Amino acid sequence: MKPASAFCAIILFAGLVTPASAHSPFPGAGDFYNGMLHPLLVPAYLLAIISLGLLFGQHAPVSSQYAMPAFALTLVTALCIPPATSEPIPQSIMLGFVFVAGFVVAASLNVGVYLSAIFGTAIGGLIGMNSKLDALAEGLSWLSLAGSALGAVLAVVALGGTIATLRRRWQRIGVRVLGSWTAASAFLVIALTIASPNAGG
Amino acid sequence: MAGSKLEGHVPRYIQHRTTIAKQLTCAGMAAGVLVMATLSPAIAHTSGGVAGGFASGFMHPITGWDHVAAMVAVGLWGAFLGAPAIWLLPIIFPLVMAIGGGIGIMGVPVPGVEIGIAGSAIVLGLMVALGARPPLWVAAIIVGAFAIFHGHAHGTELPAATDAVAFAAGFVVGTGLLHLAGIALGLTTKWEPGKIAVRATGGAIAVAGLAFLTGFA
Repeated sequence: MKPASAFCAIILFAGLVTPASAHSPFPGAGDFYNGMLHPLLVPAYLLAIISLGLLFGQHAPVSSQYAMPAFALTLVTALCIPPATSEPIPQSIMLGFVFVAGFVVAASLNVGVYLSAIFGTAIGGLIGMNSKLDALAEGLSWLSLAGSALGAVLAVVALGGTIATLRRRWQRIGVRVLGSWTAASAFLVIALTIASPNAGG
Repeated sequence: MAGSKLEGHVPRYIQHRTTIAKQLTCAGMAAGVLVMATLSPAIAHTSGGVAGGFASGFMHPITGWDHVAAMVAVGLWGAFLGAPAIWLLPIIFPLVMAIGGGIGIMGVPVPGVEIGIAGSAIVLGLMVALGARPPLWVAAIIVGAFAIFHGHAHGTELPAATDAVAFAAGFVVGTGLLHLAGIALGLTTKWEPGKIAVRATGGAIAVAGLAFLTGFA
């Protein structure tokens, strides 16, 4: 791309920036699409999805061949079975997995097939169980749960698949930087939760 | 001309100019990302759901000029040091800063935090201005120590945000983009005028740090 074209593209995108409003359903979107957006609009779930996508994609296919199906399976199972407790599982537990996953990505460690599957299983189960409780609390239908499952799985697949195609050195470094950011964010929230149990979201 | 020996041969000076153009484009796009991220209405330190929490966290490191100066200096120095420092710093710094932030959140006192923050601008600015290239482990220790100070300061200033995850993510992203902006500027050291400009910027950061330390700013 010529420098002049790149400069024009930057100015054009800058002019398109508008305030973003989260948690506002599209008119007529229905339960299914609202469910699809749910895992992407809850910051803790989004952070977990990003960390999983980075982990699965960085050393794919080794890190994703069992981990991706494990994530999808535990997520769907957790959304389907009745919740064992009416209280949501503390986010700090999921963020602990997010911190470790982010650190692994930042260090570019290949943790292998089984550890990746453990991350996928744990985070899929935690997102599923808490999403189920969120849906029950708001009286949402099974369509919403189906949308949540599809949305989360698609997001992880899309991100992980994109990461897996990156080949240039600066792109691989960018992935490690993103891993560092997710780990740092998770660490701060865990520290906040320990210091102030009512905080942390 | 078809069949000419020169067909397909690109003179070296044109290759060099093409490489420069590509690097300028990349540097410009990196700086453009930072500019784009600040163009939306900024609401710092107020509640307002997820978006408000992220925006509040994002603006937190940007609204403190002592933090901005030091973060840009880290990026500049990383670019000056070259590989692997140029990419190690953006990876390691957020993690070390988060540790400092955790210490601050827990209420563990760290003596001389504000002096350390002002000192970071002075030291890092001087490193850039003097073109210092110490061993990587020395640079990592210096940057890591200052990361603890900055993280601790941010941690103690953490407001009661509506969504802590959104705030933390915004804060980390804001800090990271400052580094990247510094690195993007530091890439201009490939040319002689760029070296002079970057070292002058380092000097200005060091002077600003002195102003912060003495209370003039």
